[in-house]
Amino acid sequence: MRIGRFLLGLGLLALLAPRAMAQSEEATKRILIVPPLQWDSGAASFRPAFRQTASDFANLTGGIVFGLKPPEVNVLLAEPQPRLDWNSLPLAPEFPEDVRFFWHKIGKNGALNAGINSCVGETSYLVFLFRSRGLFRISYRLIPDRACPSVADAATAVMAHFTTIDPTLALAMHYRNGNAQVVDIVDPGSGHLRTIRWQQRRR
Amino acid sequence: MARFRPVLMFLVYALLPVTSGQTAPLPFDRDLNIPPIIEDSGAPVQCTVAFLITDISTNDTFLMRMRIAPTEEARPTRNRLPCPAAIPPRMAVRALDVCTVRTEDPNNCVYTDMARGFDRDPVQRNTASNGSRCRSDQSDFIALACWNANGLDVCGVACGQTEADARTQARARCEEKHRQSCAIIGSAPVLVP
Repeated sequence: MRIGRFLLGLGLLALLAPRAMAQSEEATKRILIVPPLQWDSGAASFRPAFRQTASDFANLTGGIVFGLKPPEVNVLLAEPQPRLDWNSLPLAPEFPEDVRFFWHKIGKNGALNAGINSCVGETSYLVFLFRSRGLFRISYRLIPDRACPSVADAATAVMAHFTTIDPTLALAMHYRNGNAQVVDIVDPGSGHLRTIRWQQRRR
Repeated sequence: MARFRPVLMFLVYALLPVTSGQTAPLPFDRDLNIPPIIEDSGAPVQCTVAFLITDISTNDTFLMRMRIAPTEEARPTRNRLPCPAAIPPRMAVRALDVCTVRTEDPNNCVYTDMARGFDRDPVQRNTASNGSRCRSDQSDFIALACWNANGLDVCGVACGQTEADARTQARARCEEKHRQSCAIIGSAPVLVP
């Protein structure tokens, strides 16, 4: 009798378990789409399938492109800072050369909100990094807090926004720094500065 | 002579465009026969191979789509050109670059179709390039389904004729392989819009 009940229980479990598994709530995994490649018929060589230019990048940033000087970037922001020039900008200590920056809170920058629909922490911000030749990096620094314990969705949204651009024009790089998620939009022509990350060189 | 003046004037006006055309040559590349549409929208669609690549340091998954130009003898089926019988391994290697160019450590970049035990040993050899791709001559959608192992998304990939089909197949593949509930699901079309 006991064995019979046991087998009956097992049978019910086998029937119900897959159903319960299938009914568990689905979460969406966002896929980051990058520009396609075109291969020749022998699949020996490739090139970008579509030609993109700096104006395609500018369309995503409200007109900001790499090489602009700090005042030129400033005037394109939704809320420009009243006075801003090279000499007044602070140094970015993680870089081994004269790199300067200014920052804005995320949410005040229109096109630069990059399609973020989820929460970002109250202290999250956006940094524009310059060397003397001009802008070479836009850095989204997403920091969780009590009201927004995960900024992962926001980071993915920023990546999804910028991975549509050919990496030879603008390279979107996502990494973690402590509890912060960082998405750097980097000028691929910025040489050895390209791979340096926020707070990589701690002092 | 006055009688022929109107006829002469007509001939002069009629010939003017010809002579002006001769004095200023047209641009050599001006082909008025080409319509303003560059691609023939009714032309058969090129083979596209779509790969899913994951950065395990961030859980970002990239869709890299690669179109392959047809050979001369290729014939379309249902308006789609066939893909090569064997997809060259170099295409799979190139697909990984979408991740390696963006990450600090290239070892973070793996194919998204992961083997059982990937959560314990998350390295590229525990992933399958063949299982992480779909071809446009066989399917319309590519999908992945994952379970989260202490912050790491462990996934399976599948192809389907419809989006729902691809998602169902991916979930079934992930759950069968990993013996977990794979409720984190994403999908995308194989063809470039």
